Amino acid sequence: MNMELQLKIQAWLDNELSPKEAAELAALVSTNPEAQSLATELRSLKAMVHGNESLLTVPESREFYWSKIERSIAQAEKAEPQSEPSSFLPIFVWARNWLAPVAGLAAMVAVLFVIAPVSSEPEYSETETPSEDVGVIHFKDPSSGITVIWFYDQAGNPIQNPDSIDNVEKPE
Amino acid sequence: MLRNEDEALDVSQEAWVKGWQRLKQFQGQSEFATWMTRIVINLCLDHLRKKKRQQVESLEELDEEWGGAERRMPYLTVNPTEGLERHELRKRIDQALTHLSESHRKVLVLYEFEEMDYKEIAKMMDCSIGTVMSRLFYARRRLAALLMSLKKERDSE
Repeated sequence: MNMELQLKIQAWLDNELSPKEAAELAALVSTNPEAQSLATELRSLKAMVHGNESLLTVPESREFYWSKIERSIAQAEKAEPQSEPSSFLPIFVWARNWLAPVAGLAAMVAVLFVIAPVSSEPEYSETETPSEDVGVIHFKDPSSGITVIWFYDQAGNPIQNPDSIDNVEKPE
Repeated sequence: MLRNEDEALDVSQEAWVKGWQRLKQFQGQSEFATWMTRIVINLCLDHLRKKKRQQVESLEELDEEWGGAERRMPYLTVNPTEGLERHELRKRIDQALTHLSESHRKVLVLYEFEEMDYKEIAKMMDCSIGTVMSRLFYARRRLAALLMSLKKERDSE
């Protein structure tokens, strides 16, 4: 008898075959003495073993047995604190997923608002450089390419100097 | 399944700790006892796997795994446990189980005592249904031989 047939006989006794296969096996076993012997052995062994697991009792007191479990649970919880406030958790996750990007966007808008006035200022700039004798006002307009340097005295009057015309830079 | 009382005790306690930690995963689709038994079985199998990694299998064990001696054994014609009281029968079976290889014992225990089918055992042991079938077959044949030799020992006393 080949191995496949032996395993099929076992599967038949274990109710692991389809009804069709089971019927075929039953027919075969009834006509094959060797298959019958194997089926008899397996059937009686199954009957002997099934439900006859040795029953063991815990060799220590019930209190001692459970106290060890209790300690282990306490230790495990201490080592790995569980996220107890489960109702809070979704809010936290929601806040992390949605509030954080929105807050980031708001910060960017705020920065733009701060920067915006600077960018809306006229493109030209005016710099005053006062000194004890002569005051200088430096005017530069990059859009037209004009730079004007204005000299004035302590009274605030412009210094009349024909050379001052040299201070005007014409765009090329 | 473990064949060691201290280890069995440790694993059973570990199972309760695991059960507590995974209580939220218990959906109530099966009975609580079934769910807990699955945890115990998984821990036993893990324990045996870890232990096996530390051991080198002997040639004898490998021979037993593939049913070396069982292939040549004649079929039983008498019941080796006939006339035994139930507690004696249980003791005899327990003795015989001790002599089975670990892989054979695991399959036999899961099938006969935990009442799992081939598919469930294969899934739990991470092997094919064919492997479960052959292991179960050799486990039964070997168990039959062991029970027979225990009967002979008893009869000769």
